[in-house]
Amino acid sequence: MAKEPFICPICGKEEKYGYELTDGKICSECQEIAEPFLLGMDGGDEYDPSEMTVEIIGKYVKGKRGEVQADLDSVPKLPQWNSKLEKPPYCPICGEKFKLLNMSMQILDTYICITCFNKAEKYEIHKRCFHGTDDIKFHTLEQFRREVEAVDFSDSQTNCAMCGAGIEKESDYLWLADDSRICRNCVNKARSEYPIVTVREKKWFRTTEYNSYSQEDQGTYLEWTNDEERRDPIADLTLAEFKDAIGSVSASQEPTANDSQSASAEVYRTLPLFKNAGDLHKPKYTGQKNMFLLYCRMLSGSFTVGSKFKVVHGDRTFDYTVGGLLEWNGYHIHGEGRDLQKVEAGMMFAMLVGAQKIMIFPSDTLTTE
Amino acid sequence: MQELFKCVVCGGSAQYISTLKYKRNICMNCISRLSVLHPFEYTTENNTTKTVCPLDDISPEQLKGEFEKARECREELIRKYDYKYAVFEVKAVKTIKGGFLQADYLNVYGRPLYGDFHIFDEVTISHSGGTTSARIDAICDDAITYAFHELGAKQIKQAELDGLTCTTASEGGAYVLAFKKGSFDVAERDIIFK
Repeated sequence: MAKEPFICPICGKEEKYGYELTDGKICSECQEIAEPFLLGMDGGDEYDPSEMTVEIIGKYVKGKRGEVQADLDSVPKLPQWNSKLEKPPYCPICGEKFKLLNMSMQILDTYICITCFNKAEKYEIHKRCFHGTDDIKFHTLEQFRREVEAVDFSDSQTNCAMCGAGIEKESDYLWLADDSRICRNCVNKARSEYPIVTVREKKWFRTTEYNSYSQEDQGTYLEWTNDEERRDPIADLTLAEFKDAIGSVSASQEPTANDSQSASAEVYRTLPLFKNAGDLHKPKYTGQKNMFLLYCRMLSGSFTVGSKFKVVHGDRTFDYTVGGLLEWNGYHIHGEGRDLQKVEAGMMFAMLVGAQKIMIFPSDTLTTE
Repeated sequence: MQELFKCVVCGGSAQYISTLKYKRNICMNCISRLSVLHPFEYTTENNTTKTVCPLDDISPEQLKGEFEKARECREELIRKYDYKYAVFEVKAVKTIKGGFLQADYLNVYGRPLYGDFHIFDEVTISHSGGTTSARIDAICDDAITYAFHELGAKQIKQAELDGLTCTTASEGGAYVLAFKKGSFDVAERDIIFK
């Protein structure tokens, strides 16, 4: 596919490929001139990459070309890493005294204890993309304080904010935008309306190379990433928004029949399960296939392990039994999670069916009696 | 600064391919539901094979109506082939010589009309009025292998190591099924079913 050309906002040249900034693209010639500035190598100053707009780069490029007077004092600069900071006797966040063998971490403007640092790390892992310790040690004390408060607030909740069920493991809950916790069962109820999405995040980040010989920092460098990440849209909702979402999901379900036992589910994909799939080419394992995995969405009612369902094709019906139920976030096949005993309307799930052959195809509807 | 990949049909994101004409994304789950009606097409230019997404020419408004058409299309095929579990249409057949003390292999090129075929499935081949049963020993799904690759006794293991083989031939794609040659024959336009 041919790329659509664009006009460089600095020099007015038409080009196909450009260098992306936070609010637009510039041509390759302007990028070559601005490269030392973009990489923070011009005069040793480092500038905040999130502020690199076309307007600022345009000023720099025109200044270099002699068209206008370059004025870079207004560009916000990155705070400098101070390696000669004095260590305070107490952690400024929790007030714990730094003992002789207690580990402490240097952040941008002070030292904090390792417990508070780990809490901030947990916050980063749950809330946004975490690129390692070097990514968060450039945060200021205020940022750390906010993150530790959020983790403390979240840790104080031992029950689901939605249904009140107890939460024991860390993997059993999801953090919402207002730091309240909800259990995975409540998350699954809204999953069909809020499936996992892929996000391609374009941001600058930096890492520190550490020279083991001189034991000194080799400085920082900036890099443009283009990684795809999975993101849960439910985590961006507040508790009130999540309650509305659950209400709208249950309102949009198909009305069930008079019989309260009836249930229906829609099939997305079917896959066979092979025993010892890694050794398929070995003759002794051949033909050991007696189970299928169906990736489905529950339309109405509920399925439990052992319940019987049918598929209708033409004037014939094919009967099967639910062999097992697994959690599925709808992202990709083989993305199933823990075992479930029951699935309810609105949930995405994977179902195990024991059979040599199945007459179930994508977009078929599974119904109970 | 983010770029969201959201399926235009179901709103999720799963192994996306972006279509060309309308600049939109559709997930593999939705493609697999439509593939019985819109199978993948392959074009060969200068000895390189390209996969063409069949949904390029369908507008986003039409796309949601295609699911019902796809279901009806499959139901017609199921009725036409007398409620078989899956049906494969043969387009070409090639015999690969095994060599000294090695069995000959039949390579069957074609497409599943509906349903999925899996490796080691016992299938029935209908040829010139009669039927024989056979076992699928290997499946290749690469579009390049459709024209150039051969699956013989020696090549199957190497193809497995190279990652050219797969375990499932699902509707919508073009595949090579490898059978150990026995007392049966396969020809063009034959039907393989299970």
